[in-house]
Amino acid sequence: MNRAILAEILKNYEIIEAKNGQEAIDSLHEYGDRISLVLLDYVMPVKNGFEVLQAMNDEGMTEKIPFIMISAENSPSYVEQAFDLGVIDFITRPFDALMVQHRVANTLQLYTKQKRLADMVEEQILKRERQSNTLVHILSHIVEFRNGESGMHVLHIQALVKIFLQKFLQKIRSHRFLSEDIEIICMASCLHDIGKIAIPTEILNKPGRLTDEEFEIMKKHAAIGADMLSKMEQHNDEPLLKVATDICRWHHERYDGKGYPDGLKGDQIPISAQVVALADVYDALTSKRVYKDALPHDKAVKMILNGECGAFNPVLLSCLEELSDDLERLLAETTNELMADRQSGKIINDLFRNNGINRSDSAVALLEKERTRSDFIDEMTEEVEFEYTVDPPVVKISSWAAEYTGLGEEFYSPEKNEKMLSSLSPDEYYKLVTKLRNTTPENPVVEHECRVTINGHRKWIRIVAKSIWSNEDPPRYTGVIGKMMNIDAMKSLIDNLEYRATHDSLTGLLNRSAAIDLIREKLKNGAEKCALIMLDVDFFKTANDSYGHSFGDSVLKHIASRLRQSVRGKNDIVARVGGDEFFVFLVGYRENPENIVKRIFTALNGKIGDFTVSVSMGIAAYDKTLHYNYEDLFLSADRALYCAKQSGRSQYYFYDKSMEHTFSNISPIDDQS
Amino acid sequence: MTLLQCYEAIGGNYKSVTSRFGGERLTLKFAFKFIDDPSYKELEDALASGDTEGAFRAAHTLKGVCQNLSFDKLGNSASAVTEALRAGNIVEAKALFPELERNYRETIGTIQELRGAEL
Repeated sequence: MNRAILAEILKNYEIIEAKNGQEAIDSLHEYGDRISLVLLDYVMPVKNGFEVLQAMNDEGMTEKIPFIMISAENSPSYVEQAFDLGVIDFITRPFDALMVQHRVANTLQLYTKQKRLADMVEEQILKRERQSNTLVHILSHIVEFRNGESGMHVLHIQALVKIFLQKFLQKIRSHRFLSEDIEIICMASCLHDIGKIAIPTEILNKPGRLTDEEFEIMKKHAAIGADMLSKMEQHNDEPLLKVATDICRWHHERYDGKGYPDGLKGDQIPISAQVVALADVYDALTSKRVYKDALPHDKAVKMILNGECGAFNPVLLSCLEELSDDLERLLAETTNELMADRQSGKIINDLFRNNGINRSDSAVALLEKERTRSDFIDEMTEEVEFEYTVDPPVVKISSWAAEYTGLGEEFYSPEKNEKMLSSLSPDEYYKLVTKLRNTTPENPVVEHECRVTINGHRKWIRIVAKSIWSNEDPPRYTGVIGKMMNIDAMKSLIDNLEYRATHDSLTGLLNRSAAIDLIREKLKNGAEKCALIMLDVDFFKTANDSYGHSFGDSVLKHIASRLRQSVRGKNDIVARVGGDEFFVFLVGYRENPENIVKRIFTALNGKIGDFTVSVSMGIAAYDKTLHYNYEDLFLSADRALYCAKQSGRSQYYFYDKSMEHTFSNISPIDDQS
Repeated sequence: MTLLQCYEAIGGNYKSVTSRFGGERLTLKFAFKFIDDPSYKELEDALASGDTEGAFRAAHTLKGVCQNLSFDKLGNSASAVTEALRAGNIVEAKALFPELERNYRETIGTIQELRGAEL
């Protein structure tokens, strides 16, 4: 009854009712933070309001969802306990409809704002983190560059430090370090040799052994590095800087106290510096340097364990010993991870790697549902939905498509993804990217048709994509969403229609208008020497009349196939222009077309049944020195053909000036394309 | 009979309820709904079977509904029973119950009469 009254008052919202405490908890589990607000009574069957609150508190729910307590109770201790358990507001009975509506609306608004702010802060933190990581990497890279090292040294140190520290913590089961400490030490380890910036290059990169004097100078880099960092007073409180200072100063100390610069002994040396020292020695042994070759992993570990390369914490040494078999693999993996981190920022990578935040979010549950649906539809229609973000440069494709194409659901830097580029050729990829780059917020949609190779099959696809722009002023290009459709079937339909529109259905030769278009095009492109042959079948009407039309058709097919065989390659054009008349357009013969013409003429003569097949041909040959166009060629060839027929058929005539005033009345073809 | 007359007859606060519900429409709707509200019956059964805790919840709910509907007279007797039960005193609650029963019958009877007039 009380719920009914509340529901009536709040009828503008979507309401889920629970008739007791346990039901309330079950609903909260089911709907998660799709619930925007909870109105909670105190006295309820099974579990009371406080019990519900306590349970939700334990799961961190009260931080995500606002709880408003409703009750007739208003003793101070009761109110206090409710607030302690995380309720955000109280509504006392009897309700006032307006008051309930306002309280609910205000609370919702507050939470929305808070969530938006939290998102903004998160984004800022991410930005800052990436900037400072970049700076640290630039710094460490400068040192390496000057050292003539490969650029991998710092990465290796970072990776090794991470591996050693994780093992070390596992071993000593200490809670003194947290994972963020590992992060900081790793980052700080990049800077261990920063003092070398003050060491002259002659000493730094000397190929031979250092003299005692030179070695003394070299040794100074530890103290110099630490000084440089500790003098940055405005950042004295930064944990990163403190750890980096320790590492710089003490990464050449030895566990037995015989190191430099301070001769610290045992655990006087911070563990961060101890670990970096070990990592440094291992990497130095296994890398090539100006003065030495790289040692194999086993040998390096053996030398370190034998104490040939300095004195280390025995616990650390046992870590190294235990890790030894896996170290090379771990180092490669961790180095790769770190490189990926450098590219796109730590937090994002963690998100990808663990899917942590994503999956636990109940909004994702909704998305998941939606995805199943769209996957199904994608599969039915063979459509691929994709999404690209500029920062980080990641492409995501729908999971059906991920499986179908073998690309996986997410991949970094598409321009470097060989699998993708072998499917969509690099050429087409750049065409698409160029189209997208040329979009504007006002005109964000592009279309692109091309062929792709999927599982060895070539397919025509159409991509429709929309560029996404930020709300800033000026807007920033932030990504792309789009869809790829399989248009293979449509494409072949169109190809088929195109074919039928340009070809003669009986002989399969080009038809007249297609042939004229092609000839015009060749002439326009400045074809070298060329000749237009017009021919028709002698006494074709007689053949048709006495043997029937299907016999006539077979004569035409015979001519067509002979013509096709006797021209050269793809350059020459053969067409049936209507009835029993054919065109042959010869392009780029050597001296004189006569030989070719003769060959064609001979090939066409023969017998089909009782009918003697012969043709008459008129040829107009031109070369580049003359001005000509299709109309002139046509007219000339037509006149030559007329002459050939007039003089008794079954022969060929080349056009010459003497035919200039001949008027064809045999060939009814006029030039209306 | 009007809603106002009904409230006067059962010792309710017409002004309070109509101002909180923004008029008579909702008030009428819920007053009629009260006829089918199970809390009273639950309270009666729980008292009869000696279930102090169940009786407390039912009395508390009845009290809440009365507050929401501004059935002040019935609410007061529900409140007295609730407090006795909160203290675990089922004997006192049972002693207070006849008063509540009288008020409840009066209230229900009047609302039914009102509904009859409305129909």
